[in-house]
Amino acid sequence: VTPLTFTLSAFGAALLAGLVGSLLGVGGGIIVVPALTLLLGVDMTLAVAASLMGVIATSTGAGAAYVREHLVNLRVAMFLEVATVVGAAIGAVLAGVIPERWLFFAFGGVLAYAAFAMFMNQVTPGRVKEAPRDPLADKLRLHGDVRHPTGESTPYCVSRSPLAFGIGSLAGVVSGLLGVGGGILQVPAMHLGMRMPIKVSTATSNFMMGVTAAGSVGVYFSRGELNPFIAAPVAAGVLIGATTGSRLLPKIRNTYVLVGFVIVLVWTAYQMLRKGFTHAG
Amino acid sequence: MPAEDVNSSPATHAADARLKRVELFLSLILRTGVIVSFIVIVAGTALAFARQNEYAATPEALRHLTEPGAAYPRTLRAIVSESAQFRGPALIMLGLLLLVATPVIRVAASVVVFALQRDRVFVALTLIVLVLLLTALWLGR
Repeated sequence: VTPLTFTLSAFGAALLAGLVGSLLGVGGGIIVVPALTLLLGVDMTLAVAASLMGVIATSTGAGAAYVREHLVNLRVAMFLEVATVVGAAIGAVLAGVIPERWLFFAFGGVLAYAAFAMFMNQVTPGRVKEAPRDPLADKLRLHGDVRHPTGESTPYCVSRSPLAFGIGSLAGVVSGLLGVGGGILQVPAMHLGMRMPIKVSTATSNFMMGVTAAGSVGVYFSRGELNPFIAAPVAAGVLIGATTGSRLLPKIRNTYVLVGFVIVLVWTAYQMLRKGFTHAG
Repeated sequence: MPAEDVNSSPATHAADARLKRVELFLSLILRTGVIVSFIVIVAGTALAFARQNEYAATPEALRHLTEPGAAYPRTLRAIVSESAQFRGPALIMLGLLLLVATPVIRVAASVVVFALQRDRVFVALTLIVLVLLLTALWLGR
């Protein structure tokens, strides 16, 4: 492998990561990190730093389109950003204090539950309970609407915002500790907890993620772990992939977005639980 | 309950138009960040490959470039001064920093938007996010 072929391979993987990440609201780190470490032999920490740049690129590239298309619930995004940013700060402080092994177990368990709940919600939609009224969401005016291609719009009510705020701070902690984007917890929290439509949930999660990642990338930069040679093809590839993905999302059926998300959820849960079992210490 | 069916009232129309302006404004900030940082990163990569000896096409060169501790430049000052000399790696770092700055600028713009709307709660919420972000970036400078 020469520097040129490395750059081209990383660029290709990043294109795919940007496409998937922008559609599912998960940032694409699950593609960038394994591609860099397993296929291209990059050190884990450097790969995570480059992947954080990829998360910011996905969020910015796709966010530009999602905000304009009215797919992002801006008030929910900015409400939950407080939780993720505070959580990320706590995560940075806690790093090294909590045994990583239990972290992998806890995170894997939560993800496995989220996958199960999203699957059941899709299979038996009739059994879904009436969402409770949410005075905080009323007060903060978090409710929104979905605009259809025909021009008309359907309003939706946001529910259980305090719970989503709690999950958001947990997502921030996990993101600060493990370098895994918080989107994978954020999307179920918004879709199942707050009862937001799936596309609004992935678009809003995507929009928020750049802020969480920007908060933690500074640490990697100061430690000299943000390598321009590795991060350049990742950022450039993800920007193109995410811009393309954001054009596709409004045209894709809800079910495909949901199924894609559940697959990624199951895969990540499996990875985390496996790390918990094989982790030394 | 704001999400009631008052789609046609004049007040809702005004609120809709205002939200649309905010959405276009924030979208413009993000799009500008994407385009500018993309151009700078790609130009830096092209210059690095064209001019830098360390990007020579050998597997050993690759090992040098990707080993831990190889990242350069690492300080803001070096990034700025070497970018002015059109050095590839410095330009790439400059582009990456511009990309990181984009969501931060978006949060700062949101503070202004909510202040103009006299929405005190959301001014406070976005200010908390902005201050924490700037603190995190300052600690990692």
